[in-house]
Amino acid sequence: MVFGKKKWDPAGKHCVVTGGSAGLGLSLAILLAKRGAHVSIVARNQERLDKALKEVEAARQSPEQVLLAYSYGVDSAKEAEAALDAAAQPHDGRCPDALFLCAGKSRPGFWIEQTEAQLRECMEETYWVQAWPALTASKRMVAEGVKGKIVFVSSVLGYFSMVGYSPYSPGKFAVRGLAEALQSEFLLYGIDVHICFPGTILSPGYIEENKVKPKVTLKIEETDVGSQPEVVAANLLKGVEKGDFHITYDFISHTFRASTRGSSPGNSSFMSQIYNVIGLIGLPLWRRDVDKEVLNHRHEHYEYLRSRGLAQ
Amino acid sequence: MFFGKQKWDPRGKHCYVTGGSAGLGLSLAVLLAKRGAHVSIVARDEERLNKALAQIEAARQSPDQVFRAYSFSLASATEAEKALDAVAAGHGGRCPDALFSCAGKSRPGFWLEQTEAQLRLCMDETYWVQAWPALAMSKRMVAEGVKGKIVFTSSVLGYFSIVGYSPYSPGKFAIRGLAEALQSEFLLYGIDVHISFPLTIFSPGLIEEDKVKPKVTLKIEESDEGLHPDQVAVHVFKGVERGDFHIAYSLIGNVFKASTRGSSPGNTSLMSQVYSFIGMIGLPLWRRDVDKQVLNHKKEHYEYLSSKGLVSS
Repeated sequence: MVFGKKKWDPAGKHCVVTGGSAGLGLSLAILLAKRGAHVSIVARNQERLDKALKEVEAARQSPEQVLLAYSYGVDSAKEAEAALDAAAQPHDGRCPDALFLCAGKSRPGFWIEQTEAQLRECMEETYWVQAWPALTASKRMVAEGVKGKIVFVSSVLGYFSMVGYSPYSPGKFAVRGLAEALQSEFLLYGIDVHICFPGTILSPGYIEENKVKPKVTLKIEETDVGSQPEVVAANLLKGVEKGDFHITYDFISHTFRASTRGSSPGNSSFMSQIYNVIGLIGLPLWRRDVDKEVLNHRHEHYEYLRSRGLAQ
Repeated sequence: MFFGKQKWDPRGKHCYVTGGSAGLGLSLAVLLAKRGAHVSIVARDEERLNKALAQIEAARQSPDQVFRAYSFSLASATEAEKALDAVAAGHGGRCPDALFSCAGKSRPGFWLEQTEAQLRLCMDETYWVQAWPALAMSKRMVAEGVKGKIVFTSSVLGYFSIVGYSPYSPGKFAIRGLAEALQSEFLLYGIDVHISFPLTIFSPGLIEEDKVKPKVTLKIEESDEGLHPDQVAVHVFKGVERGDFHIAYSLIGNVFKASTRGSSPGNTSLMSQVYSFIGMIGLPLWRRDVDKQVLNHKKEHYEYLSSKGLVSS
C-alpha cells in the first residue's frame, strides 16, 4: 500500500452487483449497503431477488440510499445493456460507479463425458456472464467520463486446475486474461480493474456443484474447509478498498497469486516474495500428491468408463 | 529431463495437425514428415491445403509415409468429429497418435469497440477451434486405448496481456486452463498434454493481425523480435520430444513460463529458478514501461474515441 494512498469508500457510490441474489453476490450487496452505498442487485429469479432485497434493505444505513433489485439475465451484450439501463434509471441515467461481477456457476465433470452443449454452457456461466456486463459498463463509463471500478470474480481454479474442472477452469482463466488486458487498456480511461480469486465458497452454488463433481475431485478437495460468503465478500471489498488488482485472501490463494504472478502489477512486495518461495517448494509437492490421488483412482475410473461404454 | 528418459520419436506415428495449411501448423507438418511421421493436415481452404500437401510431400523420407489433407472447419464438436473420422479413415479407422492443435486467428482491438459478435468470434478462433478437436481426439484415444499426445498452442499472451488483446488473451488463457485440467485428468488415461506459448510468429496470420491492431499495441511491440514459423515449429517439436508440459522458448518466453508457473509440473529445475528470479526483477520494470507507453497514448486515444462518438468531446 502506497503511503497516503486513499482507500476507496463505497459510501454514496452506486454499486451494481450481478449474481446479487445469493452467495457471494448477496453478501457483497449487504456489505456495501452497510457501508452506505447505493446498491442494485441483478439476477434472474424474481423470487430470490425479492428475498435478497429484504436482506439488503435490512442493512440500510440512511434513507438516501437507493437499494433496488432487477430481474435480468446477462447472457448477451443486449441483455446486459438492458440491465444496466434499468439500474441507471433511478440515478438520472448515470452509469454506476462500480460493477461487481458475481454471477456464475460451476459444473465440474470429466472431460471425456463433456458434450458441446455442456462446454458452451459452462463458458457462458463462467466467462460470458462476466464479459457482457463488463463490456456495457466500460463503454458507458468511458462515454460518461465516470472513473469507476470493474470487479471480476475468478477462482483459485483460474490460477491452476485439476481433474474435474475442465469445463470450469477455461472460463475462469479467460476472466483472468480479460482482466490483464483491461488493466492495461483502462489506464487510458482511469477505470480500475480488480479480480478476486476465491477458494471454496460455502454457498447455494457450492451445493449444486458438488452434486455433479467427480468422486476423485471431491477426494482431492477433502481437506478444503471453504469460507462463508460473508467472509469472502469482506475480503473482496477490502481488496477493492486497498486498490489491489489481484485480490486473494488466504494462504493458498496468496501462494498461487505470488507463484503465478508473471507481469501482473501489485506483486512486488516483500510478502509476495515470501509466498513465491513457499510456492516454489510447496506447490510441486502438493501437485505430486494430487497426481498420486488421481493415479490411485485409475482402476475405479476405468470401471466407470466401461460401464458408460467410453472405454474397452 | 530424467536420466534415461526416452525422447518421443514421431517416426511411424500418425500425427494430425489442425491449421496445417499455413504458418506454424504447416511448418510442424513438414518437420514431422522429415522425421518420418505419417501426417494428416486439416484446414478449411482446399487450395491452401493442396499447396501445403505438396510441401509436405517434398519432405517425404520413405514410401511408407501416409500424407493426407482434409478440408473441414473445426467450429463445432460435430465438425471436429467428422474431421477426425476422415483423418482416421486414412489409417484403417485407427485414431491418430498425436494431435497438434495449430488452428486459430488473432484479431486485436480496443475493448471499447468490441461487439458481442466480434468477441464470440474471437473465442471461436482462439479457444473452441482447439477444444473441439481435443474433445474428439481424447474421447477416441480413450475408447481405443491409444496412449497418445495432444499439443495445444497458446501464446505468451496466455501468460500476460496488454491493451489491444482483450479479444484474444481470454481464449489463450482459456486454453491454458484447459491444458492444466487435462494434464491432471489424462494421468488416468496415459495421454500426454503439451501446450506451447509462442511469441510473435512471422506467418500469414500476423499480416492479417497487424492490419487491425491498435497503434499503441504496435508501438509497445516495436522491439519484439519474432521468428519464422519453421523456427517456432522446431521449438515446439523439441519440447514435445523432451516431454515438456509447458513449451516456451527465448528469454521472454522462459521468464514468463517460470514466473507464472503456479503448480504446473516441469518448473522445478535450476534454470526455472533463475528465470523466475530474472522475472521477479525484470517483469515489474517491463510492465511499468508498458504502462507508461499506454498513458502517453491517452490524448491521441481520446481524439480517436471522440471521432468515433464513443466519448463526449
